Amino acid sequence: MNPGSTAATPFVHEQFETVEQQRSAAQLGMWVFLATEVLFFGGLFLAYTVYRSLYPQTFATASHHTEVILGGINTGILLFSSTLMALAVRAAELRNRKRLVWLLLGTAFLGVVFMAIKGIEYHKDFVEHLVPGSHFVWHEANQSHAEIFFWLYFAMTGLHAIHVIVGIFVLLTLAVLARRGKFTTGHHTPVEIAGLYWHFVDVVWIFLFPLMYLAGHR
Amino acid sequence: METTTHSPRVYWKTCAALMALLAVTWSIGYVNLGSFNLVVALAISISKALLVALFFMHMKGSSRLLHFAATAGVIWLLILFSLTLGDYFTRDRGSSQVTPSQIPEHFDGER
Repeated sequence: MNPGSTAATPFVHEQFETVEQQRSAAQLGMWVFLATEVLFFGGLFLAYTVYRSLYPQTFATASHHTEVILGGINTGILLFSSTLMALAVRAAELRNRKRLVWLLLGTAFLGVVFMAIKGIEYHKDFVEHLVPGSHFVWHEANQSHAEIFFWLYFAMTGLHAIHVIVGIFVLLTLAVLARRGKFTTGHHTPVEIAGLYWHFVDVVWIFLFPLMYLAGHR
Repeated sequence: METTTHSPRVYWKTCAALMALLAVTWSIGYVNLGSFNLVVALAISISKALLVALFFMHMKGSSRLLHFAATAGVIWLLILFSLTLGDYFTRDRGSSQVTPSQIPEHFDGER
């Protein structure tokens, strides 16, 4: 802590000259992290591409066993939550504490609704014996290829779900801090970069929805 | 007060566009366009991702440094895909034309 500079700008860490410099460093850090996330998910999307090109018919059939209505509703929920998140960043910038807290809570709530619907879906898949492994039951052709589809379905939506859960905890933490007025005194960078993360998770789902639920027309 | 965020109008318009594109993807999923189903679905997904990146993530109006970092992620993804798929899609080329006479006599392993 540097007492000389803390009086005017208490939130600038000592390695930075200005708030603006600190903010652009945080943004760059988040975007670099998101680039690694693109490759993290990218490996799974690549596996999906290879197997779908090898077994297009089975992937189409297997895709029909997913819950397209729940998946579609969940897509809408995530898109709407992203909108609230973007509005939250604006509220923070305009130093509107009350609105910021409510928007952060609203975004987190939609994340919880998303996870609840995903849970219902996973339960249905489990009951229908669509979880790969010794309990997998398939009445149509090419059981092992269908199992690959469902392995990818669970791996990709599961990895995405972990990201949503992390995001919910980040948003709730931010909401608590925002209530204490931490982000409405001219320093809203944490809200901004958490927003970048949340939007990224939304983008992943934007690709997962048509690939998982609408592979081959219904 | 100078802001780096957009007015709420921009966010709600982006939201409306995203929802409209979701409705298009969803309904196209019930129409048989053959292999174009995938092409259309991906084109819509890319458009939606661009809308999110440009307006929600403020790529529009960001510094070149951030554009560079964001583009790097996409370019590396393309490298990952093009090298791997370049292998997979050309792997079996010509193997069906191998006749027994072309297999070396001392070859005793599995192909």
